[in-house]
Amino acid sequence: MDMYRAHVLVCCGTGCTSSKSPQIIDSMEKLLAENGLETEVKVVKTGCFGLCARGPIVVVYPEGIMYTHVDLSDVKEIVEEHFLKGRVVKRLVASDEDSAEIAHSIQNLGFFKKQMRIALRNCGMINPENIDEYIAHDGYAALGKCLTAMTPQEVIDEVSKSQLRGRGGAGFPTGRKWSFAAQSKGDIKYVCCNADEGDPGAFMDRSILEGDPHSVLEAMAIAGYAIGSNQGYIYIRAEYPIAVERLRIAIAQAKEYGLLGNNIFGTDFSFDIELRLGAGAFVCGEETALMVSIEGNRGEPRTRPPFPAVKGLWGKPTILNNVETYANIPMILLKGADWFTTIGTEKSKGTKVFALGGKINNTGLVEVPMGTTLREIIEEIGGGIPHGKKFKAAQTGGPSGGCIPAELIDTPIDYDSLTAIGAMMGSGGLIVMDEDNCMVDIAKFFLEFTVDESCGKCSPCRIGTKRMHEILEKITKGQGELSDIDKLEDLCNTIKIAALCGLGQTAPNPILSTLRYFKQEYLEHIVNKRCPAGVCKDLLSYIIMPDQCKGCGICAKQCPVGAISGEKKSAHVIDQSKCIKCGVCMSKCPFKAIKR
Amino acid sequence: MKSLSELQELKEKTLQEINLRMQNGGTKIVVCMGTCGIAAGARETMRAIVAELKNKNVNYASVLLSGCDGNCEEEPVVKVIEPTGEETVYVHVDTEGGKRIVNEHVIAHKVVDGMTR
Ligand SMILES: Cc1cc2nc3c(=O)[nH]c(=O)nc-3n(C[C@H](O)[C@H](O)[C@H](O)COP(=O)(O)O)c2cc1C
Repeated sequence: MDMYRAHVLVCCGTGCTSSKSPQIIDSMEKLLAENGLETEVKVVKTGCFGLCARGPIVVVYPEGIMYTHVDLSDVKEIVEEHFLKGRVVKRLVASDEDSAEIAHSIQNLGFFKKQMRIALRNCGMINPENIDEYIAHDGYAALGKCLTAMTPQEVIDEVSKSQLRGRGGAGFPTGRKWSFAAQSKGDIKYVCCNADEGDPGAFMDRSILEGDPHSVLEAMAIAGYAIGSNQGYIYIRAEYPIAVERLRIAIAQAKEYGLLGNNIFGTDFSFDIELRLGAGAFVCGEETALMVSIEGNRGEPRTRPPFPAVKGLWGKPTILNNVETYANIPMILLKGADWFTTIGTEKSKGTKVFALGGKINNTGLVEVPMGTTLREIIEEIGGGIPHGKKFKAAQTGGPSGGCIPAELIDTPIDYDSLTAIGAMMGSGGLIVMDEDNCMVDIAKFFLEFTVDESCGKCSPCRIGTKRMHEILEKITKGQGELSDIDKLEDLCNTIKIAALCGLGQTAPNPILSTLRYFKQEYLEHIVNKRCPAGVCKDLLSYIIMPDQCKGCGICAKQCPVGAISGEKKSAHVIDQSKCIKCGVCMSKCPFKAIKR
Repeated sequence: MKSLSELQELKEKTLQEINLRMQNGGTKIVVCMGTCGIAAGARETMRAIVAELKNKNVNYASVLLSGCDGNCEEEPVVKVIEPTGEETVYVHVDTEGGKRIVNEHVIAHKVVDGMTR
């Protein structure tokens, strides 16, 4: 065993990797060796810490000091000052926006204070490519407990008692799903993991797989034992190369240790897991399409019933759970359902991971107890909206979900509260919007996505989403009519009930919820041909106020298409036929003489 | 791996290695590592402390460095901070002294004779 006095954890999640964290590791190891510190200070590559907005992230233990925005050029200073002489490099230490003091430990940061990490418990704590570190954090102990001290029925009962609900979007009780599959008769059964994560802006599942792949493998083996299956498949998109690579390493290590394979822990239970790479189609996240895709066919959904628990992969009883759902399982079995049910609200137990994105300071990954309010997530954990702008709405559930308007910011985040206000939990994408976002444009954005991603098998979805998108396009171009709103509502309600699968059935949600809370904004576009947020370019024009223009010429110089002309020291004008409405002139005018 | 006890063994072994990430508030041994400390042999002292902790399988203490705190003539200076916050300052600590701090103070909970100010 090696004993170091300090461990330096460097985030190698997708975000930090693209801002050069692997090079930071190389450079740090080189500099440690040059200073004779290589036997004292160990560099550890980890998964995501969550504070992606401030990456690359480096955390030094035992102090627990978090360095943010670390550049390659900072490494020398960190090594020579902190590691050699014990002097913390203050300018790089994470602090809260509103606090002049540096946070002496990662635990004191506002970003982490309200969080509770169950699914993300090991992310940023361990090296995901080292099974020993997972084992040190009680890894595979839950599997051992199940195999040696519990019957399959007891495992299912414990999961049912925990009231864990699926984190992939629909929120179906996991215990009940397992129980159905256990009751299905069949010589062969399958356990599948949904790591397709097609919701734009979501990166929860990816981060769990990158930061703690073994927790998912362990949970799948537990599920296999519970339902009587010996084979698992993880369906993951090929666009997640780091997650795929770490899963491959994890599976190989687990097999080497005998934690996957034949006769696990000397019992007669055997379980194996294989990866199946998807091509990144949203519809392949839908359970029946996913299974068809694993079978090697074109990913198209089919009607249910029969449900996969009866007839799934290759016609055999199958369970499919989401990555985050699985990540909760080992903890539930180790600490007990009674512990798990103390967390969360009456009908939504445990925590939920959210990928915070959009107009928010702390873009990143957060895990909070169910029932935390949107306000706490946005203002306290998320650090508020950049540039002092006003919060307008948040979109949960991505293209299948809805928006939560500012007046409902105190809504507790759980399955039922969100459904009640026309939004949904979804898989955990949480996109924050401020006063500069146009809600019609947002609805159009999501519809564009569903039009692209519709598989085309059923006409309500194939044709219906296209028609809805056309109407939204018309409205944002200033050609909308009042009757369009009725037409939209009519289409929405029809597609909701007539589409074959969840993709089509939920595609109208972004329209329905924006219509519900922001109808006035639609009417402004239709009646007054105005986009109040100033996003829809066709409804916009930039005008120079002649009495305020001093004729400095800055706007004319900045205009990328040469649409502004005028004599020096006299009022300039914008040629509307040339203007592309980029807004540069307005942002550069020192006299605020340009209006929109 | 064929049994739970093998898993437990591996867990404990690795835990010792990564315990210092847990921030579970064990004893802190702070070695002053200013230029003055380094010149007086603080690095060797610090290494001896880390090695002794490993020899004795101590996993509830962590070794931290700090800058000079102004008493350069007393270097190498080592402070032991108990989880309670109680602080003991040792001066002129050589490698032997470092080992004594681990054995007598950290393990046996007795202040080391003749090494305090
Ligand atoms: C169009 C569509 C896309 C979906 N995409 C995903 C996905 O990316 N990941 C996921 O876990 N579930 C996704 N689902 C939900 C799955 O069909 C299924 O409900 C889920 O994987 C079950 O796991 P859970 O019970 O653990 O949530 C999607 C559903 C639909 C209709």
